[in-house]
Amino acid sequence: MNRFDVVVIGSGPAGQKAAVGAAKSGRRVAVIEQSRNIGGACVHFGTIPSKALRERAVERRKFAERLAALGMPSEAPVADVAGLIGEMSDVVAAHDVYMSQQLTRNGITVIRGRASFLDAYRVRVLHTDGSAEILGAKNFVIATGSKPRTPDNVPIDHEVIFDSDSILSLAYLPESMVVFGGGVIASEYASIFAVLGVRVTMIDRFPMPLGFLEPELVRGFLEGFGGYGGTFIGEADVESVRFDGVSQVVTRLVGGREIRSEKVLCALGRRSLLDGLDVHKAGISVDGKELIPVNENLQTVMRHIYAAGDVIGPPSLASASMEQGRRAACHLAGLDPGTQGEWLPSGIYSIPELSCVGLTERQTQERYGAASVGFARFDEVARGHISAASRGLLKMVASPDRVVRGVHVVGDNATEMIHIAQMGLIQGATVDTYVETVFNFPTFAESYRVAALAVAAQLDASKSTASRPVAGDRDVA
Amino acid sequence: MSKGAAKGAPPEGSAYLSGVRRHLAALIDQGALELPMLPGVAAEVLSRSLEDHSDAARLAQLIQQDQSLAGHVLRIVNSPLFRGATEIVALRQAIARLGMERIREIALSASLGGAVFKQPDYQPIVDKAWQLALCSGLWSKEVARAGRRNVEVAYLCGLLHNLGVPLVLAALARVTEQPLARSDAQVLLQEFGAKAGALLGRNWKLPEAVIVTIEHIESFAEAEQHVDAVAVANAGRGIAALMLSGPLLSTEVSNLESIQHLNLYPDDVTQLLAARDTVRQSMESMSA
Repeated sequence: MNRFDVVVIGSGPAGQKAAVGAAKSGRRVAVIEQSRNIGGACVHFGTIPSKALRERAVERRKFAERLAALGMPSEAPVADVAGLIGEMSDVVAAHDVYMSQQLTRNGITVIRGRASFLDAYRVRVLHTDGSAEILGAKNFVIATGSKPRTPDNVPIDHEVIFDSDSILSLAYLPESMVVFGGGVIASEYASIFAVLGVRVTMIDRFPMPLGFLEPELVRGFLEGFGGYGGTFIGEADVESVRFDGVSQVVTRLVGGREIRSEKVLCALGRRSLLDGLDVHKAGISVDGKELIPVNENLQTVMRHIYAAGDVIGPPSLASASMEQGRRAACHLAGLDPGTQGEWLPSGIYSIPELSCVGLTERQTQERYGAASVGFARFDEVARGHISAASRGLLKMVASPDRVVRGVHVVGDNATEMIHIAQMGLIQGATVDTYVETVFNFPTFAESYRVAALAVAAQLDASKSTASRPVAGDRDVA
Repeated sequence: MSKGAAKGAPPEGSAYLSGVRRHLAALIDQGALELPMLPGVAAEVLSRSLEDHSDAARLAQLIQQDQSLAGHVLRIVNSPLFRGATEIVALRQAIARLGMERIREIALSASLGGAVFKQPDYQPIVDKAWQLALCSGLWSKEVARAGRRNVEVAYLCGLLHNLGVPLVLAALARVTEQPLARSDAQVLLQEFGAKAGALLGRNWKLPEAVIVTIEHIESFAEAEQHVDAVAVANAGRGIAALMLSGPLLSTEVSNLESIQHLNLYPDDVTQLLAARDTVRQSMESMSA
């Protein structure tokens, strides 16, 4: 039996940071990875490849639009998906190399195989050739991630009906695609394929996609999606899905409506990946949602076993998983992980991009009694015109004491822009902070000042009642 | 190329074989090889009325199962006449893009215009190669599904991986007066099969993944691109060969190098092999 101080199961964002953190504290660390490559679903099926594909799609769309503006109409937006996937694969491969080197540099042993607990201090690792080995450790970190959730009435075959892990195995762009779901993954892929020229129909049981976002952002998403030819069908339940034997998948909704498409993507969320891990043999139980309960230190009920990332549930963001992995490593090494950041931004890499941090308008009203709201449309800032990206919007929410409580952005660079708000929230910035701060000109960041001016004007006019301004009802000082 | 170089030579012996070898090499260098059509499937295509939906589905199935026809359809739909902005890399894409009626026309044209895929002198070898191709295509799909690789491309790679076999045998029939001994034919197939198949694949403008598969099916790790696609086809062929030769044991499948390359664990293999009845039924139905 091979003995280590720490055995990390999974090499995704959580596992990788946990392993590196533990190794840097002087522990002898092994990472067990069941895939051929390091990085988990984040690198190979999700975060990295979908974002890489998105960037390529946006580039092509902009290029086609630019050609059209110059009087050289092209067959927009074009699409050799093999080329797109090839470029995407290069990004993934580069990331894989980077991460492998990081593990090697820190003296971490990487073992390819599937882990299953034998008891609370030993795991068995099964290799693809059927051989097995046993590892013992003082500490374990379970970071096995998640896999797509698929309902029984959607027969995923990875040929015409895909899940979010197999959709990027497409060899060509279909003419039409139905996307089940209205969450982050569904919205990202639906908009990316729409931009690539695929006729996309999103179907979700809720009235609007991305229901956890501010309604202005959802509208911005739907306008963009619709502008690329996408259709959203809300409040619809899928009754059955079948391939017609020739070329079309027939999706039948409850009520009888049928929608035909060349491909279907089922993106109805993800669930923890604990298959075959036998956590119960280590004394750990999963909850009703098949998640591993942990305390604030990421410890399971067996205190020497930690869990991090998607296996412990929301927010299921790569960024949060990395931090959880790091904190688990710090705790098991007896190091102070520092204060956990309260303000976690969310980024949705759809087209248009969406991002938010802090409270929504309603949450601010509930918590502080009232909320003042200011908007800045990207067509009100010079950078929006320069970049031909005038469809964006920034929404700022402040409480009556003038403190900014949340910022929500839709449009180009939203996921980058949001970090200004994140820093502001950490520092307790008021609307005046943004009004009095000089930003580079011309930038999208100017939107902060535009929105802050609108909020400040409302607060100055009425300090007791929150009111709703009309976007654009303000002047930039 | 006539039967000149080998004519008059004894059908056995290294000198004769060397002459045939030189002939084949010259044929390949000149790109002068032709792939004949399978008459059975072609006849079936011709015999069917394709006006209603179920017959259209049958046509799709026929194209999928016919190595020669599949190649012809892909070549034609990727010709300047039909090809749009993107390459058509899968049969279902071709059907979706051009419609059943157009594909029917293409299939019929290809059937009528093609030569006969039959080499009486080497029929046992041709039959075996065809069985292996068909079975490899079907298993490659299942392997791709298990490994989250593209299923449609996998089928094509598996189906067309030994495209060079009928090609080389057809050439042998043309350049020799008497059939070679089976072992000699196998030697030449081993030597020229991949090269001839790849040459034809290029001339037909088959998807690059298929061409790379034909070239590297024996050594997928040496492929500079499409390694996974070739590994899928290699695994599909490996499973097909095991199934066609006897009982299909999961331990033997797990030991295939390509299965390990694709990161399929013993329990994945067990799940994969659950498709054996489906594959067997498909084989029977396609071979009927």
